[in-house]
Amino acid sequence: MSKPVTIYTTQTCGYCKATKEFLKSHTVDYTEIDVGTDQAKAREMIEKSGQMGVPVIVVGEGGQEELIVGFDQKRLSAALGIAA
Amino acid sequence: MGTVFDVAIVGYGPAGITAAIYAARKRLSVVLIGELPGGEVVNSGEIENWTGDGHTDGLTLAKKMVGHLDLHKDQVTVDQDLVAKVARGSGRQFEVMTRGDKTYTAKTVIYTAGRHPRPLGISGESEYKNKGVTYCATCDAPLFSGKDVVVIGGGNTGAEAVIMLQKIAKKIYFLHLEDQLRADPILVENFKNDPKVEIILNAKTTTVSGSMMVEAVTFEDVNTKATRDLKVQGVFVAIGAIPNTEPVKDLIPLDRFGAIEADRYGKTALDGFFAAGDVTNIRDAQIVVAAGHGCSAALSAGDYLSRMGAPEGI
Repeated sequence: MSKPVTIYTTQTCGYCKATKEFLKSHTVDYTEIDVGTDQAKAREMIEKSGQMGVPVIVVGEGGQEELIVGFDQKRLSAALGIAA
Repeated sequence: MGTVFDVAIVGYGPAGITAAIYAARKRLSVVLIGELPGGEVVNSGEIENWTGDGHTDGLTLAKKMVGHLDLHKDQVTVDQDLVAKVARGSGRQFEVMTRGDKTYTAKTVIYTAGRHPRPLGISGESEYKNKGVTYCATCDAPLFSGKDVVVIGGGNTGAEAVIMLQKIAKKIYFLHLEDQLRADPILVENFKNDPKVEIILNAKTTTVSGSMMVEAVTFEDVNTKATRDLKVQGVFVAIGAIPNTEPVKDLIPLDRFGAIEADRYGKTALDGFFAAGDVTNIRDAQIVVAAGHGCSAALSAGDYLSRMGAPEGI
């Protein structure tokens, strides 16, 4: 059972795009939230991550969430259990 | 004995991609290693000086470049990763080691790793990084909707940040250290009469402060020494860039700015090691220049390989 992946992005952010390409290339499904257009979700992202940079990637859910700030291929691969 | 590539290209921006295309067309075997497809072009916002496109944007142009490179995937292996170190291998070969612990061996290297934004080096800056302090207006501007922000650095990057923020932020202070903006007048025209943009010259930023997030920036007037606090929630730093030369600092001499000295053909002091684009001491950090320089470096690498002997395939 694969872990749910949520990615907070802005439409103009290159590292968001790189992260999405990386997930796609590993056939990982994800939910994208555009914090550039959704102010409530932007606040949610800032509260969750304690910072404002995008992308923020949340792997897993409930108490098992792992939160990754930025396009960190190593951490993302480890969290998803895929080869880098 | 593992694969020995004819060319290892470090960097996934316009210089690296163009070098890869030219090398592939010469039927050289190529590995290209870079983290961000399209490089910093992706973060460039609006682009109006790439020949052939009157108006485009960084994401679109980067996608086109990567798409063009994909046409050569039979010749070009791409590893989407950062390079940790480039060193001499056996004989005249080079070893390129990635953060993901892979090592590629190649007869030549074309180093096109670009630059990263220069920090201000002031109190509070690193503490509030991503808590209001950002180095990428293109990435983060949409998060500052309705907020008051400051853009520091009166060059083209700063002016482009102001233009991006005009549609988003409530108030924009545009600070520059000198008595005149450096940005191209065509950019400044976009906001010089906009009441929500306040241009402040001779301003030396001294402190970023806040609690959880940024709340203020303090600057000093370089002439009067008077200080002023600006209540802002966002700080966009645009004061130039530093070449990404850490992986090659033990391999090749760098100039006083940390850039690789390369000639117009991409040649460096080290045989077989070529460099192109913003990571070099090239005068103009422009996409079109980086692409051209990447082309020249690939042709130089091709010449070098033909002098070494016939290129070997994978």
